[in-house]
Amino acid sequence: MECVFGLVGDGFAVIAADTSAVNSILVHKSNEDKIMILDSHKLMGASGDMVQFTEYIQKNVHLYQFRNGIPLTTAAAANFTRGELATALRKNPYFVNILLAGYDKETGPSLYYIDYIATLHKIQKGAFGYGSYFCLSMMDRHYHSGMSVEEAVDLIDKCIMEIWSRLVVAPPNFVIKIVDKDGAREYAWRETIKDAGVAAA
Amino acid sequence: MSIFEYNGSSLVAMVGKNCFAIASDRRLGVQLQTIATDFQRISKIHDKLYIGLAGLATDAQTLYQRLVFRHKLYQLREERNMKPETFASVVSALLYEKRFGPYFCQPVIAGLGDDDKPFICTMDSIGAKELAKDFVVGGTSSESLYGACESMYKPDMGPDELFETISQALLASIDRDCLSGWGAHVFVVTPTEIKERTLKGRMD
Repeated sequence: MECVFGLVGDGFAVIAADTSAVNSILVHKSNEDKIMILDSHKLMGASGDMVQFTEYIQKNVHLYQFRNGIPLTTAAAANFTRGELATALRKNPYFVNILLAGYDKETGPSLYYIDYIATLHKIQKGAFGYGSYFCLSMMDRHYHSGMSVEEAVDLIDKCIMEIWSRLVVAPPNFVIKIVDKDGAREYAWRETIKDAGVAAA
Repeated sequence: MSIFEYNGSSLVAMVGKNCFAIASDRRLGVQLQTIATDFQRISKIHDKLYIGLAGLATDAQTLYQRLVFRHKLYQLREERNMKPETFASVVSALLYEKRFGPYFCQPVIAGLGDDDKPFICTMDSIGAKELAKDFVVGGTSSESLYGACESMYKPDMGPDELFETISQALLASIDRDCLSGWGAHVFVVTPTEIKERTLKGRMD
């Protein structure tokens, strides 16, 4: 099952997600990017049937910026996302769990937990999926507020090692993305399986 | 597991002498897993009216947003705050609107009405109001809370004594409930001031 986890550090927020696209016992691909960059300073890591929903949120975030000339704050984007999930909940629910990380000039970095049934909460560290059983405990032990990027990525690596060694259906590859005052970007991959390129004809 | 027990919650409100107290636990969980230990279950509607929403957190958040909207509109039209009795009727009506697809919440409402007379009430998820003169409870540890409150409560307590009583009753109950916990938020409201305190109980 899909592992997404993240934490807030000193002036940045980081999200890591596995990169396996799985259907029952078949792994379709091992380099599926599950952390969408919503805008220059926001990341949305999602687990579940996420593609349509996250793209919808991304386009609406862009639309707000086009219409109003200023970008949404992270809190506003999180509340908008929760609103969409909540409205759809009793009609045609989205089965997507989301960690939304962002950086705002006025308020700094933040991380929001948004459940598939639209429970919204601002958190310092969080995780979804089977990996959460290992990551949350690892983070409870090693996390402290105001971690540097090196410390935070070290903690992320500890969590990934824990998933790899203890989860029976552990996904082989992970992507780590970070958001800080300079924007949202991919930070690193942690791979054990490299997808083979297409063979020459 | 029942949908009301999905997130875990505990709420209690008590009446004192010209004051009231409302308290909740701080845990937000997803069944057995704890997500956060600083979840606010009690929200202010206006200076003399508080509502706590037990039950499913997503419905509590949606319902709270709808209630704030209704109250703000009322304030614009009537140019005054809603009385607690009126607000309780609004909550009841909103819940009954969804009679055959309800919000999975149990509200606990506490306020100071006319002449600063304390008012508390609770209702079930489809809006059946229960007014009480002493205390009301809600959430996963409600049965335990009934017992604790019944034995500890006495009428006409001052704000400090009320704070002690409600805190002890709530902590005693949530310490025995696996789905509630991680401390408590207690609000004690008198006509002149609002005191918000955070308690530490069994942090588990």
